[in-house]
Amino acid sequence: MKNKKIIFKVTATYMKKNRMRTIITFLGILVMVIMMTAVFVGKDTVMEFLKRAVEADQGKWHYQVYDVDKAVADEIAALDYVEETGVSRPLGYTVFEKSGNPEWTPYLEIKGYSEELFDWMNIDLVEGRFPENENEILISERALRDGADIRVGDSIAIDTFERYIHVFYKEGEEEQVAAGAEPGTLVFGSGFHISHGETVKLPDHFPYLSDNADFEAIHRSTGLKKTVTVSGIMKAPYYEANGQGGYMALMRSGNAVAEGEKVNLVLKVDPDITVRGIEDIAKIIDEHRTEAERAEAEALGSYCVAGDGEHIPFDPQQIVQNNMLLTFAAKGSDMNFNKLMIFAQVFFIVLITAAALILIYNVFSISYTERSRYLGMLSSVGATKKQKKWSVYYEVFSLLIFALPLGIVLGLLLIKGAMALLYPHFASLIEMISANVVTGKSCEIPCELIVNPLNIIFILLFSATAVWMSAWIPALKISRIGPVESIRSTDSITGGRKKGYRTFSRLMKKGRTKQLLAAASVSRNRHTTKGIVRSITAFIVLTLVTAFTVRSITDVLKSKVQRNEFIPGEAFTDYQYVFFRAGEDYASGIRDIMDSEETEGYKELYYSMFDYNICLDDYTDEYREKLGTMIGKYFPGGAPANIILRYLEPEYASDHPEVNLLILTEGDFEKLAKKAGRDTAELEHPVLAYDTLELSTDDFRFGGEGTVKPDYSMYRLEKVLDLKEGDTFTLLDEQYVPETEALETVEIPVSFGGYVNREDAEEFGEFHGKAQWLFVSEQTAAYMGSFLPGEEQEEIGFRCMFFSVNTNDSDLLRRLAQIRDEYGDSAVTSASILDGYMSFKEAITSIVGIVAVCFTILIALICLLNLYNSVMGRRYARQRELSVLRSMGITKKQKTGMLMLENTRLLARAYVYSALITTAFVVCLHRLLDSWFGKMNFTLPLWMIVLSVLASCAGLGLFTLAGYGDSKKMQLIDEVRTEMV
Amino acid sequence: MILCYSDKCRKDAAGTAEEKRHRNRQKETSDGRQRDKKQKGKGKMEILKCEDISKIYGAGETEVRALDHVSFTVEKGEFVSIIGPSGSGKSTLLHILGGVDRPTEGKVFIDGTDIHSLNEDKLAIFRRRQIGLVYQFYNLMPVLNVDENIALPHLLDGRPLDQERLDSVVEHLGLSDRRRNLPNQLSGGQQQRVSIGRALYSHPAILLADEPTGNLDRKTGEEIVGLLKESNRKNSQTLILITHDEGLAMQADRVIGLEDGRIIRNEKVRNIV
Repeated sequence: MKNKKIIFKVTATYMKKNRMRTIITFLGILVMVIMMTAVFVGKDTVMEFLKRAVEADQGKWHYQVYDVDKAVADEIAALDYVEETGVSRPLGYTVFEKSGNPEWTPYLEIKGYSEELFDWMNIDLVEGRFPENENEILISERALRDGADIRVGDSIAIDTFERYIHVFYKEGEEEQVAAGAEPGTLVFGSGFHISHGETVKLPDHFPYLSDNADFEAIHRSTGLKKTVTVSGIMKAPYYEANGQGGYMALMRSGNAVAEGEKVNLVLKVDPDITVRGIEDIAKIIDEHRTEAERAEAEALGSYCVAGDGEHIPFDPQQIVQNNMLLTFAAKGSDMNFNKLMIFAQVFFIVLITAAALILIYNVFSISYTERSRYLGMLSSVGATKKQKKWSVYYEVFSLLIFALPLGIVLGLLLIKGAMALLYPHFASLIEMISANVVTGKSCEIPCELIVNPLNIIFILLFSATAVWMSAWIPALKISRIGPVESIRSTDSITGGRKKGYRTFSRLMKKGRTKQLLAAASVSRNRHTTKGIVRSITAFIVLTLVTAFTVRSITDVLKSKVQRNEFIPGEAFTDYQYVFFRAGEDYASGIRDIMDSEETEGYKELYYSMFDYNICLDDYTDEYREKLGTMIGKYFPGGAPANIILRYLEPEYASDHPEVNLLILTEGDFEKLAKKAGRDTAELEHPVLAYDTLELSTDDFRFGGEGTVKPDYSMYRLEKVLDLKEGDTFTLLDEQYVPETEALETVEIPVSFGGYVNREDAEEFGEFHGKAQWLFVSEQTAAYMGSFLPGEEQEEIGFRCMFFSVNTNDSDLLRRLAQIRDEYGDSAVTSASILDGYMSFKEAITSIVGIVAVCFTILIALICLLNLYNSVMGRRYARQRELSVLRSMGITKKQKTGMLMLENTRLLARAYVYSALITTAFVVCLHRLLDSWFGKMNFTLPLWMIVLSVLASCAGLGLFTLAGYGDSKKMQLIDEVRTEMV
Repeated sequence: MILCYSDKCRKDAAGTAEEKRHRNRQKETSDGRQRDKKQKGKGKMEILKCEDISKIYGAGETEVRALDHVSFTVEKGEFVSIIGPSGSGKSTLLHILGGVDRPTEGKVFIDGTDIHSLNEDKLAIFRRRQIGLVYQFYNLMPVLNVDENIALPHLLDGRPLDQERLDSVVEHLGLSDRRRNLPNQLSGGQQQRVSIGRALYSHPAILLADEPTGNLDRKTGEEIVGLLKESNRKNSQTLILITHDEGLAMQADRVIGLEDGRIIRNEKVRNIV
């Protein structure tokens, strides 16, 4: 080290003398450390925040396995990644004598929780305490809200039972069934169907049903009969819905599972171990099944594939995972999403490192001439290559020592500040997606910095490596330069060509001095020119690559999570409330709305989904090909004949691709047609088609032998109907004809009015999914309704009414709220729930978007800093040259002109490189994402291209004007004499 | 050469605005020369006049008086050597005369114009038209090759290249085989020749040379001085040369001796001889 001391001393002097450059290098390293900190700590902090949001919403558990016996429970608990288990016991219902709402909620629905579940399930006390023994009970606050007369310390007699329902046969049906006919079914909403004659146990949380002519409710005692004390009142658990027949009540039970007992097992796993939870649990359950149980499970049609490729039938309602919680540990079942999270993190780290690397490399590259001069001098008095190399390392590492602690502290403050700034936005997203939309719970999640010591070690290592990498090449170059070359600086200005350089004769003859000087400077001044070109290229490439990647990730997430076929647009969501109901209730409700003086405005939404079909022959070849490809992904060995027959060569009308309809008023339909530039006036029963359709692997569910679950992929197809404007085509419908007791195809001829695009239709909503969206007028809908059986024309879809009221104390709302469905849910709800259709993934999309915009800005800043440094470096390197020009008589105007011409050349060169590099990056990235997510239409961030080009232009121009301004204090001769060190 | 431009101008009556501007400048130069000739007929003409010039660097205890009330005149076509020991103020004086440094006190008149009363741009234009500066350390544009460096002041003045004159200057300076080379590909002598070529090419009224042979061997130094003297003689250019070399100084018409910023001698060489 002793022999390096003098080198370090000289380097330190150099650093002090070139204060500005040293500051810029320091800032570059500092920003890099800040951003590294932001990535590592920020990611953990955001994930922890989201994890807490999920926990607050869904609980802290990872898996729940319903209805398992001791043997299965023990085996599951023994899985190596299972950290803790809890046991929940459905103890049944008891009549709740003190209910304030006996008409809708006459029971208590009792569960027995082992101790930890009170925490895992987010059971929050309103008053009292948790049950401490099996004779205490906790009751939901909902009971009190509904007027139950109950207090902590009260005693309740319980006599539990399970609820069954028996659906009666219709008159004469029993005989028909006995003769072999299929029984009819009774539908209890939410797809819960019971065949006539059956007696079925009702699932948890089912609404109260009083006996009537169609069915009878049966209670079967479970044998639990005792008096318990109310130990506390709890907030309604996340799973308790307003329409339930019983208020939730929790008792304390043990963690051990007794022989012959069936319990619900709740698991917490180690998210750091890659888990195949569903598959492993399904396998254990399957191994304990009898043949009959297996056949029953297989009949459900759901399979998962075990690690060894075995297809295991499983009941998705038996094994439930808290997918979002696992997702935030990148261990969710959705591998694409996990990949995306990891990809985003790696991408940001690479990007930051690249930006910092280019900045530091540029600093050394630009100051190469001056640096090589003083190092050359040292070399001439005996400095070795190693000593010269250490001069560069000394500089960067001495800056890094200060930048590291400062950068980490600033990085932490930045995250803290950013989270504080973004918290309201995050919180509103969380609010929209969390259960409080349904339950009215408040959702306050504290935001804390999560500083993992391992992350700090990563930051130190990454930063040191990045700094070493960026200084390595300049150090090597500088160490190689000899004393003579250093002093003559033959390497800084291109001097390699022995024959010299062709004179710019044409420019000289035309007297174009500015052009001559600009051309000579740009083409012959190697290091400084390269530095600026590199800076601009880095600025554009990194900004665009960031923007493109972020856009792609957002596109992937959006397309993947966008499960809603239709999200109403401004035309509807500008209203406060929405009224849903069917039949006469709806008719009277909307009459009320329309006639009420409290109504500020209203608009009706009328739609039909999946009711009609368009013949596959009317679709383009591309659509048919992609449909085949998509189905083929499930069948690597080739699709079986029945699948081909159903999807690709359909015979029945309902097997042809389905369509969705948005039915508009005549005025709205004409407005839409006009906006899209379509003339439908002359067409008979015109139909407009949305120009985009999305086919994704999520749209299909195939099971059985030879089936695989492919990775998610999606094709966004445009203009899939093989029709021209004015063509007539048929909408297909299937109707049951009582006379023939068979389904018959109905063909409804309509005219194709052309396509409308997203912008044209955005007022009415967003349209997604695999079904073609069509827009028809109410008149066309009435015409379609005339094909329905029956004497009167019928509605072809569903209606709901959006409306606003002009008072906070609205009688109208109270009246409408009295109209309830069989679950007791009100027919009126807040229109914002439609905005709240967002899922967690969509929220994450937005959060990723926000974070990415912040990163893009930071990356752009680091690149602009780099550009400033390059411009200033070039300016200092040319100080003498510019002074000579001044002494030769260049005017300010000429100098500015020359500099701007130089900039034009530099920009042109940088744009060519940027275009090439960005294109290469984008193509690679596109292919990578394509291979993961299927062929998608990635959109180019055009505004970002324009913005980065403008910003680079403006940045270079402004930095040049600022950097090359005349130094007023210095006489020209002093500038000429100045020897830059 | 002037005729050459005039011919060209006549040939292209519908010339560009640039050419028209150039014609006007040529006319001004031509008128000036005619005026000079008329005045020459009447007697010797004073081209440079220094009035009581002082230059002070720093302040208080660190104050250094580089020039102390220096006054002298130089006639058109005269060759003047300025000699003196290191730190006597020679270079400072030359730079003030060349308009690249400003005096703390006093005035410099060139052809009747107080050059330090001009603003930056006017002074720059004045410099490129009237003054040719040859520095000890050449101060060439590192990104321009020999041809481009020589023609630079001329081009900065918006005048198109006179290829014939450029060829003649390059040949005369013995740089014909180095025309495409950048300064860092040339020897010190060659660089100084380029520097002289740059000073001579645009026919400035005054040539100022700051120890042009300081970094060169005797033979090369003699060649360089020969070139300057030749230009002084042939083109009636005023030449002011700073040197340490007494022998070289004695080749001038007049010698001005400086010491501690003051003129200690100012006499014709033949009087000294």
